[in-house]
Amino acid sequence: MAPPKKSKKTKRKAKFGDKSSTDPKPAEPKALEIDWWYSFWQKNCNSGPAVPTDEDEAFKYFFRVSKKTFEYICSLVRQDLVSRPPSGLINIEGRLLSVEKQVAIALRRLASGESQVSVGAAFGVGQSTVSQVTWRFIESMEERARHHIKWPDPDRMEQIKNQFETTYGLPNCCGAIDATHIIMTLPAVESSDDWCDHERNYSMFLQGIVDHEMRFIDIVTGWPGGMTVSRLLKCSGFFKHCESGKRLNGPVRMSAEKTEIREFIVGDAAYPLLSWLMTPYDGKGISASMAAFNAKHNEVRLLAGRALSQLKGVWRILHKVMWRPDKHKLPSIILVCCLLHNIIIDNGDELHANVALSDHHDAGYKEQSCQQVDPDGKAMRETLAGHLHCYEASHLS
Amino acid sequence: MITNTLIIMRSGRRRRTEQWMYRNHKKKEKKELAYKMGPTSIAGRVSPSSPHIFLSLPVPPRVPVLSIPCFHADRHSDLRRFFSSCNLSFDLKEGKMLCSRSSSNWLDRLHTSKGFCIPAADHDLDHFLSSIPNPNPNTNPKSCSPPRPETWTSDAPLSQPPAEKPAAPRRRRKQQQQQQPQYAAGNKTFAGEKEQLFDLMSSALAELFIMGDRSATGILRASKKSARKQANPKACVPSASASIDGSFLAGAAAACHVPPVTSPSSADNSVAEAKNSRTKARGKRGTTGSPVESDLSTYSKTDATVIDTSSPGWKSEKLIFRKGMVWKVRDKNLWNVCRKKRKLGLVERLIDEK
Repeated sequence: MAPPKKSKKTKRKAKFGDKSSTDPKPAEPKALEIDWWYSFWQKNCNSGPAVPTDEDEAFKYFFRVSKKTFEYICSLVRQDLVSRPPSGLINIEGRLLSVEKQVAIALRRLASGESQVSVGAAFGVGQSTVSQVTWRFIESMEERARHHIKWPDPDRMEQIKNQFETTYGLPNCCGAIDATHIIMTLPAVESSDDWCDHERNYSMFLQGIVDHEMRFIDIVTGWPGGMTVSRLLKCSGFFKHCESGKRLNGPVRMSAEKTEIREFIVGDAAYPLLSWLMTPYDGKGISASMAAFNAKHNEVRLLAGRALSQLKGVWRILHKVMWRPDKHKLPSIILVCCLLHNIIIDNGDELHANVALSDHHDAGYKEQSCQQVDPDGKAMRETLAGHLHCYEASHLS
Repeated sequence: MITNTLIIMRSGRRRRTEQWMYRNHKKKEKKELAYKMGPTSIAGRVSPSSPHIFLSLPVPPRVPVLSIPCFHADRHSDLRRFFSSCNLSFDLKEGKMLCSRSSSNWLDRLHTSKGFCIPAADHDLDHFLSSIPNPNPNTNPKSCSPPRPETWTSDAPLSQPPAEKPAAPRRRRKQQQQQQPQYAAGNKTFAGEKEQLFDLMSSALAELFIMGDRSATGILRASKKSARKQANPKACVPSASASIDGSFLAGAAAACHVPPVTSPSSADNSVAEAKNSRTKARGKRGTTGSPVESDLSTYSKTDATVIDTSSPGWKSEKLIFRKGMVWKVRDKNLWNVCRKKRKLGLVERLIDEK
């Protein structure tokens, strides 16, 4: 993806913005806004065997969102994308592109991960139009939709913790953390080496913390994929907040053994064991309580993995190897995909069952193991394991 | 009394003069002579009828000697004093400068100061010039010894005419003895000043009429160079002994006066030292007090745009340094802000601060 340079575009935008106020031309009439979809569907209904015959399902197949959610997204970005002549983007017939068509083009580009030429051909626009539309959409979404990713307020956090405890039996659990690599190609120059990861891919990290509904409540992206996961965590603002007591500092719970259990999240063995970050027991000869902890821990932890698999499956641009992306713009693309992921969840859309990745989100990457063990974290894990053991024993009896 | 007159006329272009001088010097070796005057050699012609040395140049004089760029006799009282002390006279109508040597005192002193041996008979210019040692600029004039000592007497005055009676030298010596104390009493420092001025004048003349003696022009060139910005500061920066901190400038100034030909190796060292010092200075600037950052030069550097929803503003620019598995991260924002503020004017900066 190679969006145009921002500076040029901004200048042009500002320049023509003044003219638009004096000589406004109507965009495509409202009646035509539906037309783009029908013409697109007719053109692409036979593009693959998996294309549903049902219109709504076909819409969701192509754009990953329901028509209702699509309208919501359009409403978010409308004021940024509305075409103003002569700067307005046009189709090959010379007509201005409606906001809906622009959003559809951008969503199709992100969802399919197909080339700009292919997406442009499907919509009857040129490659450069796809490039411009997609980048405008991403910029707009970064600003207009950022409320879809936020750390939960105390009330919301209480709901999340209750859900985790009810579903998985873990008290005071606030979420699950995981990380994935967004693979790309880079020019074979020396500066690219810093982006080369352990599997000899050029990649960028995405770390996400999800709630019980696989909604991202915190993400970090932009760091080189060659880092270890534990270092990625330490580079994140979330880690600094937790270490300084500004996050996961909610009310403590008392375990069955009358020991305090503070708020925590769960992560896999790649993360360090900290007082607020629980990792599974590893090695042979673990006790029954440890095994019970590991089982519950794994269930919660998989939520993060599934969220990333779903993210990469729905927004295939993240799953396909990106061809020499602008490393400064790629984080924005990843962020917008995460925002769209949350919008789908927030709007209650149901995804196609086969749209998510069938295998692991980071297929081909070996599981990392972090040996760092914090004494407080170790004690906290012991407490949790004991609590779970007691909880299961009381339920069995 | 000997009155050797130097008639110096300003030629058109220096290069053409030099070429002409060189050609004529080769052609008329017998007639044209190289008259050594201190470190300066001036080609001239001896008039057979008079004991005058004519220094004439082929191009008709358009600018008299008074308008030599470096000196202006009307304005420089020192130069006027110099001319008067040398018994130089100016004929503005003819555009000529006449230098009449009324006494041998001046030339004797000049020869002595420049390390030339005083010839027995100053009128015998052929003999004098032929006896001048090899005009090699590298030859130390102080170590000069007369090639034919039998024709030279150490006490014979240089300006004694051949036709004069033997009593004349004695009278002249007497005159000299009388004159010298008066001169010294009148102005003790004037002799040294005169010498300096003469050196300067010699250099100026040599600069204008280069006769092949490069060392003579060196004085003027050195004085010119020292007064101007150095063309290539690298070559002039500190000698090997000059320390980087305190005596850096002193060392540089000292190195400027060292001819590069005589000390090429030290010049190389100076450059190396200068390079080192510059590297050190740059290193010091880059570290900005943090000892950890001094190692960052060995790291590979990349910049990244990081989006972190736990950070204010979400988006930030980071500088990432990597050496194998060691990563160091620096915030790029502070630097950007500093640069932005530097770029902004005062008003904008104030507004920005408000």
